[in-house]
Amino acid sequence: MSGLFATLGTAKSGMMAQQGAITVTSHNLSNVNTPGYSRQQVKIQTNTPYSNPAFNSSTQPGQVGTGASIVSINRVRNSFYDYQFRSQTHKFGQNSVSYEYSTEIENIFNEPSETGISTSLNNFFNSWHELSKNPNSLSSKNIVVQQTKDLTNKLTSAYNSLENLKENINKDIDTNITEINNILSQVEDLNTKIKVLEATGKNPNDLYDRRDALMDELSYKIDIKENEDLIKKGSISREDLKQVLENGKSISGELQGLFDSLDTVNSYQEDLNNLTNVIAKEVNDVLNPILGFDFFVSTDGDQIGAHNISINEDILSNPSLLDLGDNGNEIALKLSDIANKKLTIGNRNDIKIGDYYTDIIERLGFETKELKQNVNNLSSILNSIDQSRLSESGVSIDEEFANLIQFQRAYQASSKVISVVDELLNVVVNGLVK
Amino acid sequence: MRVTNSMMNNTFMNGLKNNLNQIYDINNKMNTGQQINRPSDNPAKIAKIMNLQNEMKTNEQYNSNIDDIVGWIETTDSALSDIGNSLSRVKELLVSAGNAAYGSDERNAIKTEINQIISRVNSSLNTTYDGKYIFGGLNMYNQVVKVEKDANTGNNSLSFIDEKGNSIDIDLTDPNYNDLISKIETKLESEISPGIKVDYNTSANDIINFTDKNGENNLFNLFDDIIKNLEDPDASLVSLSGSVQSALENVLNKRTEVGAKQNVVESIKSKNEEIQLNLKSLYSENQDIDIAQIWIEYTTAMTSYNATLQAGTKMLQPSIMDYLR
Repeated sequence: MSGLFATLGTAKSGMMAQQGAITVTSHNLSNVNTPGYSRQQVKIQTNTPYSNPAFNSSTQPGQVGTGASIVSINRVRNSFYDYQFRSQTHKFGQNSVSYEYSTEIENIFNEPSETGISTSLNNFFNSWHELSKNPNSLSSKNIVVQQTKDLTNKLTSAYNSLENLKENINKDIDTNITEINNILSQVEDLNTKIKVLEATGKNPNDLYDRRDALMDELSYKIDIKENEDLIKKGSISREDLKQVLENGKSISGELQGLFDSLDTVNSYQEDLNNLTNVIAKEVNDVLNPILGFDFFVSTDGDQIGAHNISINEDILSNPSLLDLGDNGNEIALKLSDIANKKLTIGNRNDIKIGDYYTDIIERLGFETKELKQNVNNLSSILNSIDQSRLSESGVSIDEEFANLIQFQRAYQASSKVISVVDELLNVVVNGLVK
Repeated sequence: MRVTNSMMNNTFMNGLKNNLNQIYDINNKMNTGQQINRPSDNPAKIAKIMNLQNEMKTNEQYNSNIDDIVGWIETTDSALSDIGNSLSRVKELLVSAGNAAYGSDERNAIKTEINQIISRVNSSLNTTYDGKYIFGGLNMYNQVVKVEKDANTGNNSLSFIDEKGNSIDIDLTDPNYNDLISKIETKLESEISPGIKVDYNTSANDIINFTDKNGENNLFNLFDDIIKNLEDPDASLVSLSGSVQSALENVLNKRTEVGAKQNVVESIKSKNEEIQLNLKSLYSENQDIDIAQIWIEYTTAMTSYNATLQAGTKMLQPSIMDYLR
């Protein structure tokens, strides 16, 4: 048998082990709301038992325990959930960014409303009806000029708003690239630290968590798995991304969403240009032979599009110049009839101007709705994966508290052992001699 | 399953987010009174709604066109009725002048009245609607005919008039005359229903020219002849009264045409109004919210929002600490 002093040591080891467990519990409780934190568990092991070298050891009932000690502190985490989570985040990132910009485009077109391009188009064609009834009346000419001005303003302002949106998207791409590079350099930093610590046989739990949190953040912006090569470089540039995209691959994530949005905005600008160009051409074809000059002009000399269309400045300042000649009635009706003509606009054949515009809006609606549904679906998928992950790794206050009480009691018990041993020693030291 | 505080919190936050989204949506619908506020709300319906909006606008334009045309036609009708009355009076006067008992005094009195009638016909032919000369065709901003008083005899005589105010004689070889007549005879059109254009003007030429038993004749000549014959005690007035009858019949014919046109336009108008009503109800069906339904949706959403809040606050609050001393 070991002596009383050995028992003191055993009790001390118990107290220290419980105290360590309490420290970890406290750490868990402190981080109950830290994003990406995984709860930690102490692994307590019995110390190496002690074989009493004695003559009568053969009759001894085995070895004597020497207490407990903490061998490791581990984080509780299932990396499979991380893998699952990160295989969905990039899709979510892509769709949510696209959705965000798609709603912006919806806001720009502002349909259905009394003030959208659709209404202006209709008013423009109806104004020629008024002129057909009073071809010489200045007030009817004014109506036509004002409605034309309104239409060109709407078209130009929609185009310019889309242009601004593109600028925003480009800024967003740059910000995202900066953020990605920031994350990558942090991850690299963490990797170095983790390597050093791992080499000394330690478990850098909190550094692992921080790295995982950074990777989660990164996984929203780019598909980590597919773009491993890119990420391994430690920093990415716009040129790198362009190269990936040109190879026909998808980078996915928020970055892909931003690049997609750029394309989308471009396509709507092109649609607007096609529409504007056809309106200007049809109206000019009718009016040029009569007026001797173009009714719609381009402000910069290029082909007329939504960005540069304008009503002839002279007519704007002097509507009476809109002189349709002797046969004003018929000419004006011809102009209002353009609305019912089946034309070739962009790559669409046999389509009326109004229908072409309605189609644009319809397409926008379908695209936005699809993105919205994707975002909703992905967000609930992500949510359920995250819940599983939290179920595994999250801190439960109740649990920690129950543990805390358990550790507290164990600590108290060990300290009681010390006081008992103390009393026993008192008997030996002070009690034996009277 | 192990349930952690973050999970509880997340679930609560998600529920709250969903409920608030729903309420936001309902709030939006209630405030605008519209079911579809952006294309993605219902892309399948957006095209329909935009088309309906435009069709309603265009239909309103058609109705305004019709109102203008009806006004024009009514004015034409009353002007024609004036001319008809004038001609009837001329005929009466001619018949009475044919009375053998009438002496030169009576004939002079009749001539004076005829001169007045000529002025009246002049003003009828120059009737305007909304500042436009209704019988002028494309020449709508200029006076169509003018009356000239002979300085010596005091007799009135009618003639066409050009833009500068010069009288234009009826002369088929005169390019100015032909030019003027082709303008006057041009049909003015307006669209009153999709693809349906109607002409609504009556040309002065159609009223002035008529055919009597001697062939082509016109009001200008007829009036000149009447005055001339009245001045000549031996001249016969009977044949002229036949010509007046022909002119009168011509005017009545035109009036019938105008009346028929008015009927057509008005029937199209009532059809248009019916269409407008249909469009409005269709639009309303697609776009307007059903207040009762939206209110029920609102109440349901509010209930579940309140439930989430209550459940959340009840479930998130307690922990084991509440039971430890």
